[in-house]
Amino acid sequence: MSEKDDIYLDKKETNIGSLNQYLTFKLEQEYYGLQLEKAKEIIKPPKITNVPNTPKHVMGVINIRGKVTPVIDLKEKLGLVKNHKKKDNNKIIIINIDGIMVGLYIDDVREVLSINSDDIEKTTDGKQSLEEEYIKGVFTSKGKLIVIINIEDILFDNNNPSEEVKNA
Amino acid sequence: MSDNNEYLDMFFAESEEYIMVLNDNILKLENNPEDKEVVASLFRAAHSLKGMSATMRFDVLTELTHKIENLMDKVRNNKIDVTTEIIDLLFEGIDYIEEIVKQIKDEGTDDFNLEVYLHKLENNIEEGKAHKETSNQDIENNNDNFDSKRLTLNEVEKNNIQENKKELDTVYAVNAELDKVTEFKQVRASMVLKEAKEMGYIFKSDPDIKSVDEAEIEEDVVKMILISNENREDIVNNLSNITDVVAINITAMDIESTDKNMKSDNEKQKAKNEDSSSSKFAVSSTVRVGIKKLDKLMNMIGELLINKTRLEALNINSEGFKDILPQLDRVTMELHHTVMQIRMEPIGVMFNRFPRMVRDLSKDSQKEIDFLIKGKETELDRSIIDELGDPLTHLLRNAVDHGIEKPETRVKKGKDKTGKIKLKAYQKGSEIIIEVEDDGSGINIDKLTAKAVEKELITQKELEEMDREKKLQLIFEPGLSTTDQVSNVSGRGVGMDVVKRTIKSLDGDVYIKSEKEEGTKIVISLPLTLAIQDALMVKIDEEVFAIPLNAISETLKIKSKEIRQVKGNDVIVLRNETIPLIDSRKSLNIEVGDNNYTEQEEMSVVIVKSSGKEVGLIVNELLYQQEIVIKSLSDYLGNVKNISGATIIGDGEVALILDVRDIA
Repeated sequence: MSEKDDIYLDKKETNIGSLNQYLTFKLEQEYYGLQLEKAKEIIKPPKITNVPNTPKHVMGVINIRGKVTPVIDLKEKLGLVKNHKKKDNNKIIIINIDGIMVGLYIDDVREVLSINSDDIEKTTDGKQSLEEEYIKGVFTSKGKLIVIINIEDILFDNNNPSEEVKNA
Repeated sequence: MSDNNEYLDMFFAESEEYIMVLNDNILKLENNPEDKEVVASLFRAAHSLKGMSATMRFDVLTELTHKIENLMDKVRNNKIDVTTEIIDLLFEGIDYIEEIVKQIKDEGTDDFNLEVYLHKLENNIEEGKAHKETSNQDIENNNDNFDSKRLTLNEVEKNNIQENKKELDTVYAVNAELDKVTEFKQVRASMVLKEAKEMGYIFKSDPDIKSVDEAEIEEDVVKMILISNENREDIVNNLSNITDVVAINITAMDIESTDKNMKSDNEKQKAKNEDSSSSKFAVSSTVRVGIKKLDKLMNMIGELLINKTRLEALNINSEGFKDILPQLDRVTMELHHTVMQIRMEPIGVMFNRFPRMVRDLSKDSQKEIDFLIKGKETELDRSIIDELGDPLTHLLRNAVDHGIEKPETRVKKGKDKTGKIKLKAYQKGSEIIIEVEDDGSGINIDKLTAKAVEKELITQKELEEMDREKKLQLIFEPGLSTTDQVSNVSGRGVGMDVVKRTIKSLDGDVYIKSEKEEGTKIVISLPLTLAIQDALMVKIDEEVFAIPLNAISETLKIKSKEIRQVKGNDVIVLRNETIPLIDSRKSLNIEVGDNNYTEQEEMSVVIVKSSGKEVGLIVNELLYQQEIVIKSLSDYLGNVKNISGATIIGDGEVALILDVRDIA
């Protein structure tokens, strides 16, 4: 893994008043955002070791500075259709939730946006194929709809239809 | 004294050890009231604790230990007989000591109301009439047999002192003799010198202050030339209050004369009747380290090992590189083994608290119990030992409270009126087994199952399908109890579920065996979860897996024609043993497709021990043997079937560790 390409996220001043910073990324043709403070770093995918007898969305594990870290195929976990072929842009966002590190495999990272919490619309118009409980709301930036996801709920929800054990 | 704080930790460590020694010896004394050795041990422990408390200025604790010391002195001089009353009194005293120490730890003060207890103690001491005061404040003028080679001064030094000393100062040659058996000579010597420094100026000393702070010392006597305006008595008193200082020898020096004209009055203070040749404490010299620090150390060694492996994989073609690698290898190995050893502790350190507990419990419940401990020396990872205390306490309480019957009941049943409880630890292969066994009334299965159904833990139908063995294990379900009476000792069977949960969290297992009227046996098995293990690396499908060496009995290559069929399953016959074959890919849920192993000419087989029997695991390739650092497979994934963890291999990638225990 070449650390030169990795982006270490500077988490200073992620909260300015009611402004929250969101890391936006791409899954297929759709844009998503998650709270920047949850993200620890972004890396280019190293070789992922497959873990048998785990749910299908678990792509495997990688070594993040000596810590065995699972990588989740976010599209699989969210039940999105997968058309996107593996490209150079693919990234893994390392998330830290209460000390548990999880990597999210995504198509590409876009940018960090400061969004006023009032500007996040709670209503969704069905444009995205996500279940509503995973969504905090939507936000429009430069004409593009960004779906703000609730990453904790997504990762720790056990009633997901894609939980069946895979046959790798 | 200004530097008390830095000794506080030492104080806690020592008092814990002395409390252990006291508890242990009082138990011994109860069984063997005439044992003078034990009495002497108790006296010495109380004495040392007193000295320590006095040094640290914990007055209440000093008084308490002083009184206990006095009581033991009476016992030692046959003025008081060891009765049950005395034993109880002593135990009560130890409990107070423990409580006070805890309070000091929590609140920093030993402010504690002991009036009632001290009064009781006093009464008992009074009973042993006419004795001489036995405090170490007694100053004995003992000129003989004291190793009084004092430090001397040459003429230059004398002149030097003469020029610098103030009018009221006196020059003393002071020798402080330390208890020969103390484990903390260095600390004691340092305390002596620091205390002396408070009172004046140390012109020179042996050992000198610097060497005391820097290295281990061997001397039993701290010698110094002290220039001070304090009078001799104050110096003696201050220095003799320091723990383990058994004698002070002090002489005022006439620096204008030669050494031989030293004033000959020689004061010696000696803790009376110390017989340092007999009955040494069974206290080991220890440094207390938080388990977190050890974990961190272990992690770092793990990192080191991983990097070493990666370095080896570089395979640089240079003389120097090839010279250094074996050395690096040796150092890392030794480092690893040392830390492993640090983490291992005999389980006895935890078992030691139980005899006292069982004794108290059996007294409270008016039962007669023989408590046997076996396998104290069995070693376990320290973090596991720490976790085992509560579950074992619970199991033993249950054994006393619910297991063993009252003497009259036992007699009626035709049993020996004294019940037996056995606590046993031993290693079995790569597991540590701990058993708690009693010969009490056993578990009433009908009652247990009836309750389980009543509490809707199982249905009547499920119950009918269960065998006896399975029914018994219901006791580990939450909220089940077999005693109708509520006892303040172990509640109502509450906690067996907690026991099970704790053991499971340690990657172990627990089961119960019980025969009505014959007794109950609870067996805990714990894996020797070592953080670093030797493993065989194999290739399965295209991934590298590690199989712990202690699970492997051998590896071999077989030809497809050697495979036989038994009841439709593939087996091989090895030295007349029939061993079933398992395709590792199937155990790991890897799609096999048409690529069946039997079509290969030759296959690699790892014979592993699984669920008590041997099975042959077919893998794609045997790679190499390697030390691996065991890492958890991430909390996010939880327990994964047939995978026990992960490790980092040479190229920095993750390899999974196969758990063969249930693979068959």
